[in-house]
Amino acid sequence: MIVPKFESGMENMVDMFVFESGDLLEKLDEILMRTEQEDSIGSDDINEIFRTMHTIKGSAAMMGLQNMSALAHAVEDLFYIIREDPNVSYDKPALYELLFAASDSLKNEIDNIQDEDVPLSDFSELEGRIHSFASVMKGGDAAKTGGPSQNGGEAYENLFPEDENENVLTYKVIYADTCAMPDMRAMVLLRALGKVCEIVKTFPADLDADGAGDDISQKGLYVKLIADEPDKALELLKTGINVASAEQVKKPEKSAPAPVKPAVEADEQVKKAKEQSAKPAAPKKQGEKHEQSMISVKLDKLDRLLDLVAEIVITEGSVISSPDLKNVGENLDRFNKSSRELKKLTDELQDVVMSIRMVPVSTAFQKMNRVIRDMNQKLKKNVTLVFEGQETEVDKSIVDILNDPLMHIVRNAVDHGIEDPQIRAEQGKTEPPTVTLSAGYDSNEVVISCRDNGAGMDTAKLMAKAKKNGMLTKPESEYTEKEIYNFVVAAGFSTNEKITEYSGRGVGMDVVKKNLEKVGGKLSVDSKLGEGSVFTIKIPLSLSIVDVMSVEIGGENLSVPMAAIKEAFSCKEENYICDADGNEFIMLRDKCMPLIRLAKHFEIDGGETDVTKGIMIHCRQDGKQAVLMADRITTDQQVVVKPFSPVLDPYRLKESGMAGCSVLGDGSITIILDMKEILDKYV
Amino acid sequence: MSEENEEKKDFSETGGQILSFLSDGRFFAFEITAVTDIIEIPEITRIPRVPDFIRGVINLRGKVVPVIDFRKKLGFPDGIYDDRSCIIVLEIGSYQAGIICDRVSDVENILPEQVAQSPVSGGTVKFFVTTAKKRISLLDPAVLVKGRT
Repeated sequence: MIVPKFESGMENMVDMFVFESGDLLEKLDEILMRTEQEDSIGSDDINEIFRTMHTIKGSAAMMGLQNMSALAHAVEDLFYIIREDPNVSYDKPALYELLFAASDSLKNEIDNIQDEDVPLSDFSELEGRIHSFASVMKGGDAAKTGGPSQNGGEAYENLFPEDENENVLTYKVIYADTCAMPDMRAMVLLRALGKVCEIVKTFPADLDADGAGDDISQKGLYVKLIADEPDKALELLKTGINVASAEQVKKPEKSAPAPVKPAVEADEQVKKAKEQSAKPAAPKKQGEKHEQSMISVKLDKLDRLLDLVAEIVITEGSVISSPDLKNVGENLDRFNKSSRELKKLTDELQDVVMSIRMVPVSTAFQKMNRVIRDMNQKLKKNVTLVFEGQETEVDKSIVDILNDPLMHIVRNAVDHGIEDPQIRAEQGKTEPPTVTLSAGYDSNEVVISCRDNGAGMDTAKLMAKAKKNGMLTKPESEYTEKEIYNFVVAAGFSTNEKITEYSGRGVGMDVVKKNLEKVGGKLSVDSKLGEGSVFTIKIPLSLSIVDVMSVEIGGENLSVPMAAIKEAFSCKEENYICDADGNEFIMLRDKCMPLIRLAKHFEIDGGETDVTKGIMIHCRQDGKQAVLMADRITTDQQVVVKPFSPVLDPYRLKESGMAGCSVLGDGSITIILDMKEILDKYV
Repeated sequence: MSEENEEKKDFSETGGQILSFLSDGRFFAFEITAVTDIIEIPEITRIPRVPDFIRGVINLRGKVVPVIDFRKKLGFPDGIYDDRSCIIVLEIGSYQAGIICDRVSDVENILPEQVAQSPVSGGTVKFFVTTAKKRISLLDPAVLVKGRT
């Protein structure tokens, strides 16, 4: 049996937990990085870190993730000390090392949380280090275990008020000594309990309070409830996680007169407890500082919305241009007016939906701060990271795609690009070593570039290396500078003599390139010896809606992405060349290009065979050019590309040049060509 | 695959409803739980460079669904599909596929004692079902559509 990592009933919370905790840790990293750089940590920051850890501790415990909760607890303790005594002296670099280590461990754990194969990590070593660091900070106090609440009496006050309704039953729950966070356990337990009975009151009253956990472990948890089936409630209490014992407690015959204090407060607590038990398991909100005007939505809901809008656009097209309308005859004025209105609205809807999915690239950029910081620590290059245009908005899916490539490229820039400090000094470079990440739009593409002011690349060295690795495909003298630089992103190419932790194996960049190409992106390199290098990523703005030109071949409907089309033309007899081997070429304005007969390529019967009667389409992608031949052009349109069904996977449609298919306005289906695959076969 | 194996056992033990259909004069069937639609044969868009038995794709309420010619897939002689022929749309895991058959016969309740396990494991036919009038081959949709795994 697979043992889930988190408590049963919490599965639906996992996404939220991952999202919120990830977000918090991201923010924590930012604070740590900033305060480390400024070399001072203000009380606001300390409080923020403390709160962050407290929240993570709580939500991790709620999920039943003891290890994360305990680690967060250790860090929280650390900051408890700093918060209480801001002047306490400690070893700063060591503290930051510990904090970053803790933050990384938590992040890792979150990444692996849904993978059943990865066991929960054991953080006890790190916790130990944090604890011993904390004891050093506290000095001699370390031996004392005392928490903040030292009010540990034997029992709660006013446990049985005089005016208590006799239907109210009281239960005492004692948690096992090993239970790490009894207050969190209690909260979960009470939430479950709330479903079978009405909880009137608990002792301690506020489970969220700082000392609640200690109170519970010292005095136990008392629950007052009204239940139709008390046995059921008791059973539930007994089976709670980490519960050592649960029993009903009778009101003592003579109870001491109640102190007045808790009355008002208790009322509030009843309400609170009720709220807590009534609410469906909502995660602990992160306090009031989140703006209420923002909501977080699951990405697949947005995907669904985008799909729906795309379908609406298509359906709208099929309604407005329905062939039935032709038979209606004369007066369609009102229909036409309404359809124009509808079209305007759907266009706007489409824009809005697309914009919902847009997020600034800064989310991807910010993560690089951390990469630079870590590398600066190790390599002592003291690199500054500068952002330009980080407010540029791109589709959420693009930001997710960007993370890995950016990481590789930034690492490369620091490791290979930027020289060691003494070399920089020797060369008289006075400006600080800088890596600049910039983002912007260029026509229909997002352009992200990473620029360093380091050593730049030596074409002669690259050439020699490429030659040694047998990567040359034409005479050395025919390579342009640009082509030489692009060796860097080819597989199995690394100019770094020694392999470092960060780069040098020559696998990174070609993987980056491949991953980008999967989503239609491109990676290019430029450089100037002595001045630095630029890596540029270009990704199409929208991944799903594509402009295509549809053509007909022997009755089949195929569509060529507009981005690849240079022009369409008719061919004259004299421009057609067939060489002795049967290869066919078309002359277009003094250029000779291979002719690809789509009918032949796709083994379609009945297509036009006479080159002067068909239509020629000049296509170009990634520097490769060819002329496609089809029977005729039917239309140009916007389509939503859908991947082929997995049923068709075995037939390698992509490799034969088909990217996917689309449902058109009239309900028919067209096949979208993958020009890169087709051109690669012929050019 | 393990889950599907469990389902197989379930069926021979519990029985259930099946949708039977005719192809080349023989009876075949799917468990009714695998069937999402039975539709007339619409216009089918051919896909280049796929085997014969894949007739192409259809637009099923905005979804692009591949269609398999049952006769061709099982190597039966070509028959003429008429207006009683139809496409049975199956849901297999996360995707759909359509199967063109001569005609749909019936939805039948099958008792466990009518079911015999096929001696070939992992084959297109999972069980043989015997009813009063006929013998029906109960098919494994995943194997039919994607081949043996």
